[in-house]
Amino acid sequence: MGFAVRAVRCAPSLILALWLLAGAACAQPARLEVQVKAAYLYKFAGFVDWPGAAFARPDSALVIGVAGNDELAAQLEKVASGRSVGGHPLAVRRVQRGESLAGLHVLYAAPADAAGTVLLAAARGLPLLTVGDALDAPSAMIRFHMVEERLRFEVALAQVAPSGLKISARLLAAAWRVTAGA
Amino acid sequence: MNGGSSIGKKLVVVVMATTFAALLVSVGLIIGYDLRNYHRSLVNDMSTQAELVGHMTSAALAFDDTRLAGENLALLRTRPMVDAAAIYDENGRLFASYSASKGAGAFPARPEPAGTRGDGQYLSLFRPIVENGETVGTVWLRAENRLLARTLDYLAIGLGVMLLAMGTAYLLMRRMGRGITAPIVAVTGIARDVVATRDYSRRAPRVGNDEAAELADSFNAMLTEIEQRTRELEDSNREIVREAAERSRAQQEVMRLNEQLEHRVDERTLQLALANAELANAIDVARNANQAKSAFLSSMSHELRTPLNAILGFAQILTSDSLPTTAAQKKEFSSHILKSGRHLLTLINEILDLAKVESGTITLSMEPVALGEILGECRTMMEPLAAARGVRMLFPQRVSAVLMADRTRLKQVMLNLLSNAIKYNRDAGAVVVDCMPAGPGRLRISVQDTGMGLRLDQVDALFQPFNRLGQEAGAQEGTGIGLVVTRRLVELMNGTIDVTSSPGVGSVFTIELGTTAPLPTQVEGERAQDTALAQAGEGAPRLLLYVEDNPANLKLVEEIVRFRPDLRLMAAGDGPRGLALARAHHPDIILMDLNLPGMSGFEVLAQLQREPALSAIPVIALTANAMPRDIERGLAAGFFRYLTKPIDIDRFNEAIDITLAQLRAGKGAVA
Repeated sequence: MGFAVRAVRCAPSLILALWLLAGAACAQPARLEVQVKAAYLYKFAGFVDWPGAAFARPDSALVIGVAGNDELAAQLEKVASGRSVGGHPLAVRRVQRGESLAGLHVLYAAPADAAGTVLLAAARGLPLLTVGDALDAPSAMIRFHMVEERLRFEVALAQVAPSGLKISARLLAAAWRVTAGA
Repeated sequence: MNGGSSIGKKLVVVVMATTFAALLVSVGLIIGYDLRNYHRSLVNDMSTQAELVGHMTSAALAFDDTRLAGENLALLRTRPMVDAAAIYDENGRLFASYSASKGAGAFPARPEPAGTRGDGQYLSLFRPIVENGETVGTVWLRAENRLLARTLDYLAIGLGVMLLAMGTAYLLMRRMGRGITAPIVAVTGIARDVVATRDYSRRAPRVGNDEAAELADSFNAMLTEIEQRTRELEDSNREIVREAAERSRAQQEVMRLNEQLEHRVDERTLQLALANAELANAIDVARNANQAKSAFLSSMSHELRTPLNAILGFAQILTSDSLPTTAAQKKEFSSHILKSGRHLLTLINEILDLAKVESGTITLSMEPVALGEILGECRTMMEPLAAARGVRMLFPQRVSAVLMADRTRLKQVMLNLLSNAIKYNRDAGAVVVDCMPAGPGRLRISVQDTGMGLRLDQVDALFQPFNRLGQEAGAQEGTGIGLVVTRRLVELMNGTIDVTSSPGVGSVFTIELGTTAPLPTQVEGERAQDTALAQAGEGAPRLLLYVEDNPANLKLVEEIVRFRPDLRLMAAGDGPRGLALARAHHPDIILMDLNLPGMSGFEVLAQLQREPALSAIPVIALTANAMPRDIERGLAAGFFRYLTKPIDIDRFNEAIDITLAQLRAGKGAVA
């Protein structure tokens, strides 16, 4: 009886999981990659501590800036809507070139975009977690890699140090590679 | 010893039970507490582990890193307690797993809701992994549940501890309990011994300074008390036994005394019976005497009246004018009166003698008396009487014996015996008087008659008063008093009187008296000569004062004095008048009656003696108080002479003559 009740209660989440799996299996590899990246962007925020000055108020929004990848931004908006990290509601902002980085906490710079590189360079020294693809954005703090068909990331501690951010050891443990130098 | 070990056992049981209970409770509590703690700490530990693992693994889950998750789980190797572990992702798929040993069993296919589950051997725990408020997965940990084994271990340890503790307690109790029980056991043992042997001198040893010692002290005090009480009881028992012995001894004594008493009572009863018999006898005697006395009284009345009859009868004839008598007749009648009066006087004197003898007031003057003289006088006095009856009297010749007796009374005795012998003799009989010595210093005088004799019973009653022995109605006049008086007089003179008689032959009266040395004295008649001489008086008559209230007596004295020319009579009726006459006339002699009206003769005499002018007058008492005591008293009071009524004229004249002679002699001496 107790078991039956528990089984019934688990049923909706089970159905949702099956649906997600089915969705993922059906998606194209690129699209899957964008989805994983969007999730990772959002999840990174949970393992990073910003300096107190980075938030105007304790409940100020944690703003994730996405530059040069609207698909990702869209995907991210979908993921982040209604979620919060450390009491800060998530917000997504599409960042254009030359746009101020103020108010951003996480910045994804798409590859193959010079503007992205500029943005990353501008972000240096700011309390701003910069994320980029390994091939496109060597100056980003966290860089995505595709390893054995799985999306992995590397953390460049040298990039992190001037920003005043603190990256959780658990994130470092989950990283594919942690580099101390540039 | 049984009771002692019983207390020891009880003590051991109590201590063991207490120890057991304490151990049970404490060990149980400790085990329970420890097991609870163990379980709680196990659960806490597993929760912590699960939390830790979950926290560590959350990044791996977030970034889909199963290798990292596996490495994190592998860290549980340092916790051998954890048997198996698994991590499920947010979709419930098994993400990573760990097992401490090969084939540790299957992992749950799907994560279950958070919580702890125990299935005896294992304790499993699901814990959700929450990151940023989202459940990113579930940790499952399974640990070997060692609660049962631990419980068993604890039970074994508890058992061991209990055995060890109780053993120790038992040993300790054995050792220490002896300190508590030993004094009590000692007291119990002493008590049992004391009860068995009754030896109260035993004492319980005092050990330590606790209640047992106090018990021993109290017990000893009690024993001391009991010992003392027992000793007192034994003493008192001994005392009681002793007293009982004494009592029994006393009882025996009492019984002995009782026997003696009974014996004495018997004796006394016998004596009493004898006394009663004597009393009855005496009563008989007294009754007889009383009857004799009554008879005597009637007889006496007769005897007294008889002479009075003659006196009064002849006196009437002499004084009557209607019966003229000649001078010869007058003389004859007067002689009858005189004779009867004398008889009457004899009777009265005898009665008075008897009264004196009976009352014991008679006084004797014992002196040597010549028997021959007395017998001579008696013969002279009795001759006329004997001659009148024609009785011959034979007296012993030349009697020289001298008796120790009262002269007058001896004469009275002899006269009485002789008159009886004559009176109760037959006509022309004989009376024989004889005397012979009877032992040293004793003389026996017998008077034998030839009368009709006496019967034996008459002899027995002979000396009883008022008994005339068949002569009550006899012709012989008598009083029946003579022999009684005689016997008393003889006895008073230390003599005895006896009588033997044979009826028809005669009687012999025998008296026995003490003798004394012969003392012949012949002095007699001087006084008679003196009186004769005194007859020759001088011419002048002497004045005689007579104090007398009775006219008949006064007349008699007047008649007597008329025949004496030397006397002149003056009379007074009472004392005061007599005194007045004496003062006025100074009489030579005073005659004094004693029983005077108002003032007695003694008082008058005393008054006369107080007055010097009168004290020299000789006073002569003339009274009917004829008792010797009265006479003595009168002479002692100062009367010159004491004359008794009825007046014997010769004695009266003699007394007057002597007084007159005295007066003349006194006057001569004065002159």
